[in-house]
Amino acid sequence: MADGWSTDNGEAVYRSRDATKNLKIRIKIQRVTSTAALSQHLQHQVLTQQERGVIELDTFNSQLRSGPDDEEELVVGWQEKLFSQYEEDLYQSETSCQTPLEKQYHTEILALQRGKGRRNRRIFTYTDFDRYTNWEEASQNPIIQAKFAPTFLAERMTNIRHRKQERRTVDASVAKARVITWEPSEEFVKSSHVINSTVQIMHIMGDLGPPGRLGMKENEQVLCTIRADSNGVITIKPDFNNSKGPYRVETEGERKEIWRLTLVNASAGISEEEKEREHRMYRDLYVRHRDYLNSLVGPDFEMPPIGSLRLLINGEIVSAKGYEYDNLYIHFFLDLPNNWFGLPFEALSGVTQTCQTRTLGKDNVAFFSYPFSFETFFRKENENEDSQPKWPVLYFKVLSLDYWQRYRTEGYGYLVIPSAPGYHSMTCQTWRPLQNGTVAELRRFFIGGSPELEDNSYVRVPSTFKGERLSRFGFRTETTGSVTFSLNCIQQARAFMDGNTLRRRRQTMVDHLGGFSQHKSVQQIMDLFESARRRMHAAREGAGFPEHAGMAITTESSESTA
Amino acid sequence: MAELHIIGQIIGASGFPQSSLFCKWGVHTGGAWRLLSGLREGQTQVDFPQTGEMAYWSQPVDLHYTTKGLQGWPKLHVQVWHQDSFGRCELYGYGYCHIPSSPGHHRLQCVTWRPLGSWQEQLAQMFVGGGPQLRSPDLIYSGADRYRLHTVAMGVVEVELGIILRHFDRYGIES
Repeated sequence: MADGWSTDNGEAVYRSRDATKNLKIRIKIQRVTSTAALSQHLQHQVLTQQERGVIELDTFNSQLRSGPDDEEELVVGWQEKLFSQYEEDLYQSETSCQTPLEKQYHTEILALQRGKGRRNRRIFTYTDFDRYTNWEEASQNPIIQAKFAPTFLAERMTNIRHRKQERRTVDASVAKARVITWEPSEEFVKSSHVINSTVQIMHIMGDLGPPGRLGMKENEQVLCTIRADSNGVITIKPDFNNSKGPYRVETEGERKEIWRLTLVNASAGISEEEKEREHRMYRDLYVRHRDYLNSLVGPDFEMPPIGSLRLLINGEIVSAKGYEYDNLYIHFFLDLPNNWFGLPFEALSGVTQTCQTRTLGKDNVAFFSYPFSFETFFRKENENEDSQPKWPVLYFKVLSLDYWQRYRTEGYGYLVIPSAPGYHSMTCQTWRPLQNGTVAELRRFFIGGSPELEDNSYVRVPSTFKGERLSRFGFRTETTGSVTFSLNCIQQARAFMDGNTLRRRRQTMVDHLGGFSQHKSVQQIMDLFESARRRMHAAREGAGFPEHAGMAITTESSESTA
Repeated sequence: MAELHIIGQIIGASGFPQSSLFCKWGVHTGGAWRLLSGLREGQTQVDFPQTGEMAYWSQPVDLHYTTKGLQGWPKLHVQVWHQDSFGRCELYGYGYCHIPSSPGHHRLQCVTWRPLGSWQEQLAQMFVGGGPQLRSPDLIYSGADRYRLHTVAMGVVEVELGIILRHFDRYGIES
């Protein structure tokens, strides 16, 4: 019998930028009595079996209709004050009204009584101005505990809500001149140590007493709590029943009764033409913003020439560590293989500053933080060359120059520029050549000067090498330290522009809203035309299937109009 | 016309001889770039850590650039200074790194160095403070005249950046 209940009483959070006063909720409560439940269940069964031609049972209908006191349905607006029986009795007499709010209630109730009377019976509301919102809610203990004492923070927060109601002033923004308050006053501490946002609360209550005995304060129960923030966040607990079953409300007291609660959002939605107008306004705004951006920089973008790949390397020499002597500097250059071209006046080499090392952990490190930026172009000259393109290589050597002007080589190394674009942080190991005998080492120690490589590219593959096997037999080296580089590689080519990017470009939001404006350059229109023609060719080849034929027809017509 | 968003923070610095540090930072770009919103340079507060030796600034960086070319990719430069208990400011390091060009979240370590004088100046620096500084900070982010300098390695500035690229793929750029 208790089928279809919804047990999820959690609160739901909604966000809306419209005024909260437009919020309307339709709330319906219905008492569940045993006979009512049984007959409802039976009638439900009857209805489902009606296709089979079972005779309708009329006799049950009279018992189904519950009394007027057992159910109620009402549309409640935001902060709409509906009086309960208890409140009506209380505020009728003028002597029990002290505060101006109560006096106002008194006049309203008298007016109601002279008029049609209240439109609600069991359902009533406590708005933000009522005492219930502040006192009772604050003293509700979330934990089951023998004695309840509110914590320091809870006390502070309730005080804040109070004061926010009494004087609804918003604190002005802090003057920029004084950033720190050295002696904060009590007021300042109270208002800035806890949440400051204004919250308006409304409770929809139900008087769930037995029929005929309404107006007892013990039978009041909270059916729904709505909290609205000044930022447009609306919290409703419990949530609207959209497709879940009704909520189950149990009364406490001597007779436990069960009520069925349903909440439906009855606020008026936005009309179609309003929505259209808003949409158009946003579209204009975006188009205007895009035009402004275009005017700042211009719609063009510098592109590499057709058929070439442009490689842009932004990097820095970060550090060097593990070397024998102090006062290190690095001399490096970029080696471009065949088919790679650089810009005419750009330097492809550099020398860093001389850096004295310091101890970091176990090693002596030197920090260079030396920026470099190279731009190179790759153009495939002959198409029939099948080999993989060779990527540029950065050769470097680490040298030391000390106070006495002793100059020594510390190491040689190389770094192949990675072929994948993006951020790379790479550490390269180095070695230095050794000569036979001790004389060279002694000279290096006392007066400086050490064997150097004549051809720097010997580190990798010497440029004069043309054979099949490289032999370094007889060459003696000593391992020295390592150098860290960090590189950002960007690749640009016109060939990357086709295909995916055309499709993806159309899905940007601004294009959706702004449509195709006249600012698209001629090149882009030609590209679109090109892709449409390719689709048509593909469709022609696949002709024979009905859908492809259909596609061929439509693209042909578009081509004729283009 | 492509756009670049740089959203992140300068977390702090460590590895310096003393810990009461502040940082002057800036982002420098080429001529094809235009700053749409955000502050391109600033100075952090002085942080004096009570525990540990890393000074934390958590300085937010939020920049929106638009560009019509790839040259002059933005670079972040930092100058780390030390403020002692008497209120004197002493240069502790210059550092520099390129803003990463691939989208995503990057944690960068920007190493710093400081120019060295002669040994007499170094001795005086130990007692009185001061020390040589660059005549113009442009030397940090260009490499041309660096070879004239004699420097010493100092600490590391940690930077955390989130990079968002927009419309770069329209122009055939892979990054």
